[in-house]
Amino acid sequence: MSANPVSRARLFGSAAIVITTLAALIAAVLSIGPSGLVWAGIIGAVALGYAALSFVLHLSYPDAAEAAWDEQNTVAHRDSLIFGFWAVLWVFLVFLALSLTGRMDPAMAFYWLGPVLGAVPPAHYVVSVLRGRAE
Amino acid sequence: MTTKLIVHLRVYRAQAKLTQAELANLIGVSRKTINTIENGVFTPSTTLALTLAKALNCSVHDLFALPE
Repeated sequence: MSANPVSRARLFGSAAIVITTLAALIAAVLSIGPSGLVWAGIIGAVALGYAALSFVLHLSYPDAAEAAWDEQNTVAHRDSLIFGFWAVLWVFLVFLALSLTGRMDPAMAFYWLGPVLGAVPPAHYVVSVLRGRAE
Repeated sequence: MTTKLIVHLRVYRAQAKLTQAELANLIGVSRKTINTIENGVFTPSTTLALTLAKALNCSVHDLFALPE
């Protein structure tokens, strides 16, 4: 585990977004828990909370922030955004096919694109950290 | 073309009596970056390679080499 507060917040923040989104997905599949709108609010609150914490940490620890966004971590972050782009594209195509064949409500498809867009890049980044490719 | 780089960073860092964390702090990168460069997982940019060489008082050619 990194001693860098910015890196640590980034890892926990990314993991929190992924876990919350997975919980929302599982709850939706099992039709349990709060409504989709409530889950959207929870995911959004977690993401905004992480963004606020990250902002404060960047201001409080500028040297740590510089090290946390060094060359390797910037590359890992860019790779996660690229992976997220392709994931959303493929999920969009799958949802489009399901919607056109009447197997999925278009409004529901549109709703679930948001969590995919928000959670896949952090998931990729967390995996990079776990594989020792980022901090 | 992807060529595996030969890395001597660990040797020069040890000669300078620096830990990975100390070297990382010295040049403003994360300890993980130093670790992955030493293990050949991450190939640094020219700028970072020059910064490392300057910090360890050697040349980039001392730290990195292409296979024969």
